[in-house]
Amino acid sequence: MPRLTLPRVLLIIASLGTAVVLQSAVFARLGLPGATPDLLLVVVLVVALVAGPAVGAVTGFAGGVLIDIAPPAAGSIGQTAAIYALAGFVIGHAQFEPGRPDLQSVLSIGAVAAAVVLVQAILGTLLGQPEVTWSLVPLLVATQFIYAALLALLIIPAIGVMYRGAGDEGRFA
Amino acid sequence: MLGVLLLVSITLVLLDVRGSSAIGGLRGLAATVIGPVETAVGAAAAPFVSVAQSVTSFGNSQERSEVAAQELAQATGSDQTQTDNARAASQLDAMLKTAGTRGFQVLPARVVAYGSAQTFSGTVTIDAGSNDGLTTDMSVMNGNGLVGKIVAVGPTTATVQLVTDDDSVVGARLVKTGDAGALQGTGQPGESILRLLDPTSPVKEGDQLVTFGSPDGKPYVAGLPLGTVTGMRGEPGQADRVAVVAPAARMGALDVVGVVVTSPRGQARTPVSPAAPNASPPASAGR
Repeated sequence: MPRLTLPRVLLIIASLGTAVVLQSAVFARLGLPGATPDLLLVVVLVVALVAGPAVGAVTGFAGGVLIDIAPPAAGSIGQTAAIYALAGFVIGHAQFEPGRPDLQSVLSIGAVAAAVVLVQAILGTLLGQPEVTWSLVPLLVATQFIYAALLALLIIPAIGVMYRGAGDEGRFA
Repeated sequence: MLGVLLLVSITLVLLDVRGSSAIGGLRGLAATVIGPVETAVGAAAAPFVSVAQSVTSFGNSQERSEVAAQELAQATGSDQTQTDNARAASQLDAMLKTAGTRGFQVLPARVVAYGSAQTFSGTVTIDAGSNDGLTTDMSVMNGNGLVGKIVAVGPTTATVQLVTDDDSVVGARLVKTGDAGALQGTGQPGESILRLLDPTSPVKEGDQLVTFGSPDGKPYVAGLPLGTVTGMRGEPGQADRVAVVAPAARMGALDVVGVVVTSPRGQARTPVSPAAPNASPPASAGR
């Protein structure tokens, strides 16, 4: 695994911030069928693939807290953080060559993102918050798989290249 | 590592449930920092978003004519930003007309961010906040009717809970019969549930709903269009009989909205001295 340097930490923070804003100010307003493309989760999963399970879990936790407190979120805090941390931890165990969107990593990001939608729906039903409309869940899971896989095609090279670059002291520090 | 993070998450959930002021402060900080960025990005993306919305929505005839007008504008050479401005201007006109007829004082604002569909909640961010005099529990409307109410304010942004949010309950009145009930959101954009106080009262498809109104117009002002009954569920005469309602404002494509700052219901009333019934012919229109 690549070493975690300060430029890399800053890169992760900047990516999370950008993803949160783009997701609510652009993606959620497009009115796409089914789920809203979860750009934030894809960023978390790509970081986890590049940097391993520990960094992936922390990144997922930070991203989950961020999306739960950023407007227009008004629901509970902590659920998303726990699920994203788990997702980052799980996918961080996969072997990965940074910067190369191979079929396996694209599909696994799609699958984990789809699973996250399902887990969120199950947790929402158990806790009674939010009220989950189960007739919509299959469509949400299926569309999130497609959106996340498509986003992964772009995000994997972008974050992979920047992450490797940010570790190179000569170029960034 | 993961265990610690999960424990912290559960702690956050518990603190939030107990209404901790630290969590409130965290949300306030996020609104102060992220709100303005969302406003800037949302405004920059508005022309592209409106194109996407016109493609992804299968709207009513009014919307189709709006799309046709946009396409016409494109064909005659004006750019997308101009057509977006024209559409926003027509939405503003419609909103001011709806507010003006009812004597509301409104603050116009634009929707800059939406919550994700998979969270099953319906909240949006608007680009006005406490600096503009907004507080929680103010009604938000557009040209078609009630949109929702403000549930949180930051300095330059506010969070609006839509009528379709799963936590939203709005007092409603059937226009035709005057029957009162409660309109409950389901988290689905086009489908809310109406429970009438008297489940035996007649409701049928196509019946119109307006807001019942709260004291001082907070959180909801009276008399705004709320939606149209599109179907019924449950047995007639049974307590579980509910009506399915399509909200008047289309929640998927919100842009220009108005926050009702003062309404006539919030002002002091003047007593009236009606003439004796046989002194003059009845002139009232009745309900």
